[in-house]
Parts: sequence; C-alpha cells; structure tokens
Amino acid sequence: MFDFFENFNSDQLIPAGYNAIQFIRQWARASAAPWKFAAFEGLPPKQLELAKRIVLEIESREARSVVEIPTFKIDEYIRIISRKIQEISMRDLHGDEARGKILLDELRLSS
Amino acid sequence: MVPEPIVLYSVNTWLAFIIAERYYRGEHWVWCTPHFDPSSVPSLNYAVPPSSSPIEIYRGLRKDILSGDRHSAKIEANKTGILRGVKTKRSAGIIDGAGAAEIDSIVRASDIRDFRPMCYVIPFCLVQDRVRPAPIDQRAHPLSAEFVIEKLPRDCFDAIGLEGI
Repeated sequence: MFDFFENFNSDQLIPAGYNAIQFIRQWARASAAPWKFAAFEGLPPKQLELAKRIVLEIESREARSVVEIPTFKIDEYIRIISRKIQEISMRDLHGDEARGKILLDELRLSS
Repeated sequence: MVPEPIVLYSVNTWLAFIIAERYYRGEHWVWCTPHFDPSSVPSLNYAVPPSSSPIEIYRGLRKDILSGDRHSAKIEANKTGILRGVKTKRSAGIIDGAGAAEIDSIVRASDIRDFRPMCYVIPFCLVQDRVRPAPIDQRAHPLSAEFVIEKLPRDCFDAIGLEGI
C-alpha cells in the first residue's frame, strides 16, 4: 500500500502526506461544503498531486468516499501513512534514534 | 459586526511545544479558535463539530496517553505534523540540515508521554496583527471562527495542562 511513496523524497512527501492526513481525518468530515478535495492551500503542484493521489488510493481501496469510511479505518490509514513518512524522513534527514534519546532527555529535563 | 474574541485557544503536544522552543526561536505554529468548548456556546454562534474543538482534541490525546495506546493515530498524525514543520523551517532558513536531523532523531526516539496535550491560552489583543483566518476549506465549518498563527512568540500565550477534564 502506498508503494508510490518510494518515488518521492521527503520534501514532497511530508507536506503532501500531512495535508492528506488532515483531509481524511478532519477537513473532509467536518466541512459542510460539498467539495471533493480541500484546496490544500499553499501546496505546490507536485505536492498537491501527491496529496490527492493518497486520498484517491484510500478511496479506491475502500470503494467509497473518505467521508463514508469508518473512523477506525481512517485511523489505520493515518498510522500507515505516518509511519511510511517517518521511514522516508529518516532516510532523507539522517535521523539517529540513539542521538534522539539523548536530545530528548535533555529536553525533558529542561522543561 | 462580529466582536473580537477575548482569547484564542489551541491544543498542541508537549513535543511540538518544546521543539518550537528549542529549534524555532520560540515561535510556535498554531491553529486556534475563540471557543474552547463548543458545548458552552449557542450553536448559532459556533458551528464546529465537537470533535474539532480544543477540549475534544485535548481529551482525545489525553485518553490515548493514559491508556498507553502505542498505535494512536492522533500521535502518529502529530509526528507527521512535526516533520512537516521541520521542512517548513528548513526552507525558511530557521534551521539547517543538522537541526533537521536532530528533530527527526527526537521524533524517532519519542514515546507516548512526549505527546501529552497542552492548551495554549492566547490573549487576542497580543496577536491580532499575527492571526489570519484558517483557509475556509480546512475549517470544521465554513462559518466557524478558526485562525492560524504561523509565528506565535512564547510571551504571547500561556501553556497549561488541564488534568482531569
């Protein structure tokens, strides 16, 4: 699922994935307006296309609009999208979990 | 004429808060509304579904943390939001590649307790020049009062926990 993520770098995938998540969890459900897609304001064309592709992939798999998909299924998709984004983010940003633990401990102590 | 709000409310996670403090010059990106709890406001004045309200976002995060839900979709979505912030701040020159790697490392090492909710209470008079209406197609309702503040300085809001609500 979402195998096409591998064809994008984190610069494109993270903003697009974030907007797609916001759309399926909130914007599409809460809005009283009958728009098919949020405008995904501010997204450049490639990210916009990717965000829409993510939503369409979900709708295609479920054979229904995102607003008709039960919340627990939407949550599953959010988890899958987020984890894939985190994998690609780590690949591109060169994150290091061991280093992260040290930094996190410092932040916890400072607050 | 719609009166100006007195305060704005926004619910965020501790991890998002502390990253903004440490890496983004203490400037916080927030989505906010004048209504903490829509059930206390006549529905004609506030057309936002309860699930989108600050109080329900707070309750949802808190519930997942207290139940130890390691697969919380809310927390996963928050991680993606933090990573999206990394990209935005990197593009704006606020952080460099090393800073981006550090934040990515922190997100990767985080655990549930780092996503405990915090409520920001923002006096409107301090931010009226910084707020912009949320895009209409991203609001919970086209008529609802929802705002975005892209650079909210720490001295313009109080950040509180609300145990027990």
